[in-house]
Amino acid sequence: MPLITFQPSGKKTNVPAGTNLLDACHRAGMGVPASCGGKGLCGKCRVRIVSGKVPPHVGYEQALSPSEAAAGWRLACLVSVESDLVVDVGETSAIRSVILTDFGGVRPEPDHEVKSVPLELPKPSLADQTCDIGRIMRGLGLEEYPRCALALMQQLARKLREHDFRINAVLFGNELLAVEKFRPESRALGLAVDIGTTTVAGLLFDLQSGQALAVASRTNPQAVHGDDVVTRIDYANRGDEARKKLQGLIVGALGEILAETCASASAETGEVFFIAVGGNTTMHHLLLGLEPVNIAASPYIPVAKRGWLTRASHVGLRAGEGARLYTVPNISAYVGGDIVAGLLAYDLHNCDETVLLVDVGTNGEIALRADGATYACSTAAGPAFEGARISCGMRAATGAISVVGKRDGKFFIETIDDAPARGLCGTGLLDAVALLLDCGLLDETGYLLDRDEAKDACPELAERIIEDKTGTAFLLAEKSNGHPHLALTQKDIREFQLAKGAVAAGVRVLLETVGKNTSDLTRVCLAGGFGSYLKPASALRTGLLPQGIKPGAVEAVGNSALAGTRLCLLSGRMRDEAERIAREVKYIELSGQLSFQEAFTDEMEFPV
Amino acid sequence: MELLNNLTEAVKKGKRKDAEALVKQAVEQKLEAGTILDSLIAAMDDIGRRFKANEIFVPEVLIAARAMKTAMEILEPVLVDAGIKPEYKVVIGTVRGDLHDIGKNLVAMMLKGANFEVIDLGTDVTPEKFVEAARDNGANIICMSALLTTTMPAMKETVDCVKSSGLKTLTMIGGAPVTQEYADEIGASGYGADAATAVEVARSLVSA
Ligand code: B1M
Repeated sequence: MPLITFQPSGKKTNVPAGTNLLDACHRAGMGVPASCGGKGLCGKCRVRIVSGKVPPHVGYEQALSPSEAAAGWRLACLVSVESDLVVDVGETSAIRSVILTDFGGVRPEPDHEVKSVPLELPKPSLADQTCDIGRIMRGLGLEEYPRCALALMQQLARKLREHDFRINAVLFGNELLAVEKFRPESRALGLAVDIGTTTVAGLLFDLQSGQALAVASRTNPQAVHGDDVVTRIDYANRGDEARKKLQGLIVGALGEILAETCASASAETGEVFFIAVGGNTTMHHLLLGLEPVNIAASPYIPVAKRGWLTRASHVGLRAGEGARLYTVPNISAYVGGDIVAGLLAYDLHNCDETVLLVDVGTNGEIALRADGATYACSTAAGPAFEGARISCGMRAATGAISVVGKRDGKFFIETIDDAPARGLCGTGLLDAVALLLDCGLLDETGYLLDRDEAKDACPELAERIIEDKTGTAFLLAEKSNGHPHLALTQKDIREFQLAKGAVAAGVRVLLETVGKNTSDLTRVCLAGGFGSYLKPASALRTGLLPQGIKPGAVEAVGNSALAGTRLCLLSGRMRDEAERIAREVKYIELSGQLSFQEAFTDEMEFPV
Repeated sequence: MELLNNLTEAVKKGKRKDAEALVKQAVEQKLEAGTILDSLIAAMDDIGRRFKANEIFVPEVLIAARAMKTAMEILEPVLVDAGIKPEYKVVIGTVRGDLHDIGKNLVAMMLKGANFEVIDLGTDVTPEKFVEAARDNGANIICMSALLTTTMPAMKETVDCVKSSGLKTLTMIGGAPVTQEYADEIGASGYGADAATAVEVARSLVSA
């Protein structure tokens, strides 16, 4: 079996001959990205073969230049491992992704539906022949038996005597979830998780006090099977095994988050009895192992929309005994529990203003509250803001250019963690385009001036206009130790226009549907990582948000999906409220709408 | 010729009113219908070339195509009188389950601009409908667009359906997730990476 040595970590692994190199990287835990799901299109899985033979490389032309290929660069997804290799995968493991876990909004009021009650029960005697569950009932001060799964009932006799009738009864409403060793100070903990297509973030709570104890996050490990939901659905469609694999990956990440948060709160995972999860409809299906196939194509039918309550163990997640798993309800195939949670977290569903909630991920989900009703749509912006399809694009992680601007007439960039620039993330892209527009280097049609034209328009920055392999480009960062230079190409700008045009058009169509204007909006809430870190001025300058929105109306609301999911974790009333939101929001389908196409065409251009 | 050059420029810039006035003038001056048509085709060729080079983008192409359409509406009866009609016919549509049609529309417009007769079947078109339309209209090429990785298999089904129908109609595919390799794999006759290339490929398919 060939041996692969990964640099710079030095990790070694044996794989059967014929293994795909990208798969081998992933199996060895190397976080090599693969936006297109391993089709040789996106170029994000580029690695360098330091030594060893790989078969001739075919099909890379879309993503690698011949000189790069000659220097040993390969797209891992196109390489079949036939003999021993030393492969440089870059410092992917040392890279920290920026994952947002902050939020504000409605404060939780825990209703203590899940609780762990310490009981010192009188021992049975001839004078007191009460049955075992009846004894617990009496201890709890109930009139009826608590509901109890047969499996637990089967163990009750042993458990009560093992603990000498000093127990903690864990309850969810009137159901007995577990019987545990007596711990007077014992707590019932809960975990709220936002499963994004790209990132997963979790918060551990004390269900009694409603206090947050710890936070942890991960990039969604399913991302190795594609960046966007459709590519993932496509993977899941390969069969039961593929679908189970995706489920296993996300459950694995939840398990890690559970373990990490518990460790930092000095708690045990066995104390966690309730897990609430919010995510888009596809993430929801993949977690529960539901077949997502009909979400992808028209007429977009999910298996289930309502909130779901099941046992964590049913998806293979190990937490406290009998722990429950709850999923926030979805609105439609493309507007999921994350938006329901967002509306819930900021109580937008009950407000009297004209308010917009925008979550710009690969799918731009937009909700509008106006005249006492709530509407939502999804605009398929594409992954440009998350780095895919942009030649030097990357996710918001160490080394990503996150801010671009001009200070005292001088061009500058800022990178995440102040590391050397490795790529451009969404906020940097937005800033760069805004800067080019402000300097007149980019016209309203999206045409990037060539060097000669640039000399007249903006002499200070003209020398940053270069001729790249694909044509005119704007230099963001010079070449530095081994990394090629980073430039924003004309083609990248076209991708940006598609993405921002789709979002702005979605906003406009929603407003038109209810007969409102952008100027009627009193609040525009930007949710999610990109929405929270972006510069509102750049969003308005580039037209990501359509013209007419008042700058003062734009506010970042942080990870509203996580905020709302934690409300559902802590209170049954909030779960009911989420259900009502999911039922009442009017979903507006943009597919096949002429007004969308017209707005999209308009919004692809830039404001003058 | 000054007038026709101006017409070409007007279409390139998407100036619909100017294009309309100029084509009317050209018709009134009894210029040869075929020559007028050529000046329109030249405009769309230029648009296609610059679109492919990323110099202009979707909105500019749509605006130019709109001007082209206005001019064609005036020219069409004259072409009919002169017995000039497109030599080749295509049916075009977005495949089953897929409702993205902006790319498909661009390809259709560019093909029209290159003097193909274009029968647009819209979106969510089943394999059977493609085949039926191709048969009924005697089309030379079936053009399929798909924007979703999950709807690409419908292209293969359509290609298979054409083969089993016994029709000799050629097939061309395109759309953001589609590649030349995929076209080869499913046995499509051609692949167009963008709207301008689609025209080149269509031209070479019918003349082969
Ligand atoms: C016959 O020969 C040929 C030859 C060449 C051919 C050809 C045929 N056809 C095309 N070409 C070629 O020529 C054209 C010009 O050069 C080119 O055509 P294109 O179509 O590639 O290019 C057009 C000119 C411009 N491009 C576009 O018009 C597509 C742009 C994006 C933003 C997009 C849009 C606008 C829309 N969408 Co959709 N949408 C996205 C896109 C993301 C992006 N940033 O690109 C994409 C394609 N969408 C996607 C998705 C998931 C969806 N969309 C959906 C809906 C929509 C809207 C309705 C909102 C809207 C469509 C409006 C319309 N009437 O077409 C849904 C499904 C609809 C359906 N069943 O079709 C939905 C499923 C989800 C949703 N949120 O609603 C993604 C597909 C992912 C994948 N892996 O497949 C997507 C890449 C965004 C993303 N990553 O999330 C070439 O490909």
